[in-house]
Amino acid sequence: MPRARAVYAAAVAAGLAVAAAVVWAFAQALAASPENPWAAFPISQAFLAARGALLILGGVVWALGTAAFVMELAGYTVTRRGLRRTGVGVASWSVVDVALTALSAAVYGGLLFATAPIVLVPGFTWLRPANALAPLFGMFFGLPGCLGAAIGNLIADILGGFFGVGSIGGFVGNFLIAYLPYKFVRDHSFSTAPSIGEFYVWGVLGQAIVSAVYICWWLDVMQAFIGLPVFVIWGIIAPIIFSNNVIVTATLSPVLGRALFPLIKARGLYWRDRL
Amino acid sequence: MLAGIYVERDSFFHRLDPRAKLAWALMVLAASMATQFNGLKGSPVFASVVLSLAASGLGAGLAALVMLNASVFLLVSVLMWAGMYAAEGRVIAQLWWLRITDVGALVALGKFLLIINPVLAFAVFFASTRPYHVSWTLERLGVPSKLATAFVIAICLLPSMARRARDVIDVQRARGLALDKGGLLERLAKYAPVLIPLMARLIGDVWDLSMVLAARGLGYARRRTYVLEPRWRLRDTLFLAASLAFYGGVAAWGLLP
Repeated sequence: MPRARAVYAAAVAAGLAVAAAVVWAFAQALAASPENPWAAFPISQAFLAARGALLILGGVVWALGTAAFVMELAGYTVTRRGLRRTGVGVASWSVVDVALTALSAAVYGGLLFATAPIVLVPGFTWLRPANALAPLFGMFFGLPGCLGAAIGNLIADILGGFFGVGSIGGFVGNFLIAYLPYKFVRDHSFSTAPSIGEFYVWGVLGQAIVSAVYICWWLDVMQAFIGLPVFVIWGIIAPIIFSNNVIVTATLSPVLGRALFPLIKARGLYWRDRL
Repeated sequence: MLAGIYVERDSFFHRLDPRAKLAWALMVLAASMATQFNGLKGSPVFASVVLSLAASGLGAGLAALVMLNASVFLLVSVLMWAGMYAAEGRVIAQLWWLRITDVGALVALGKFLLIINPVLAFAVFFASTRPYHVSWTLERLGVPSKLATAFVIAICLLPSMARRARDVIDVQRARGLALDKGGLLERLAKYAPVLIPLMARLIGDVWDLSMVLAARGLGYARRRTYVLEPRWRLRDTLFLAASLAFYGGVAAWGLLP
């Protein structure tokens, strides 16, 4: 038991350390190259250097992520015993599930509009506090919450001027941000060591890497239609997605989760209680 | 509250079949993508979208407001893309370290139009199509009924959610919360008193909305039925043909070297 606690503590420390390292590294890159900090940002360099491997890895992530998205919506999931019916596919949704999807999407999209981004470094990058909610939607509301995060992001894309071929990647990518902690974090209460430890593995580090690779692989493959150069895709967009998701979810999501879980459970909206 | 961004008018666009309008919005997107490296070629698309804004009865005021907001995008676009194409073409301006060439300016304008044209087109679509008919259109495209309903409710609730978020921020500011002061972690932590009340309101709304949906019989049948279904008319065919010819021509022009 103490060993398990140490592993969870290490996961939390790793999540927070990565978030702190991202901020520190970007500040260093800006000091070294004020005109183009991305060229000196180690995370940009890492993504660009590993582009060849990421194109292969991204293809696998894209196939698995898209398959998970389609299967879960159709009411199937992969378990250790093979493909199983979940009974929570869209076809079997109740009115509460539809309401949860719509309201999650509206709150997520509305917050993306209403909250001013926090500037990490003036003129270069910013953090969106609303992103802290996406993993929580999945953990608390289940599949409707995952889809709410995806639809909220799509609406923000449509009305914010970023709708295009790339939005397909963004739609499923945002679904995965909520889906990974929903699927792999076993205790969603944020009140035990396993709950917080697993959240930092899947809800902070896992989703940040998967969403950055998923979205940017799609942008790279669709380069002919989207028209973004490789440096922008892997050197700017991928580090922004990764940094934003790591910093916001590592610092804000556990605090929100700890405060909101009892409220959601008391109102009978926690997905496991509704099965 | 559920009207969302729909504006009641009796305009040409309001009378069109939603499928024709959606196809038009997607054609605007495709033509903007095809002309994204030459803003000059993309300008007819922009002109057509502004004309559509007027034809949808939303007025020139809204168009001016949108374009004013969009000037921020233009500035960012010029800073980003002109810098990337600084080595190509003839230099037309030098702003501090930024060399703007004719090629860079055309790309920057093209990328700006790639952002603003679809935004205006979808604004026309959503503002001139009843939420009820947006849902109907999505179902016709094969989207499951429950998903289409959730999407349309989310679109409709978005303005009121954004207002609600601003209200919570204002209230917390009045109580002394300074969201724009302090270090990075401190500023992020300050968003907890904004996000928690919003989520608490969401939790409260879920059961109300569920009861409304249940009272309307959502999910009773596999396929939702509609009392007022749009009908495809000759004007829709003509509008679609004209759009196809115009945007197809612009896209072909944009793809030419």
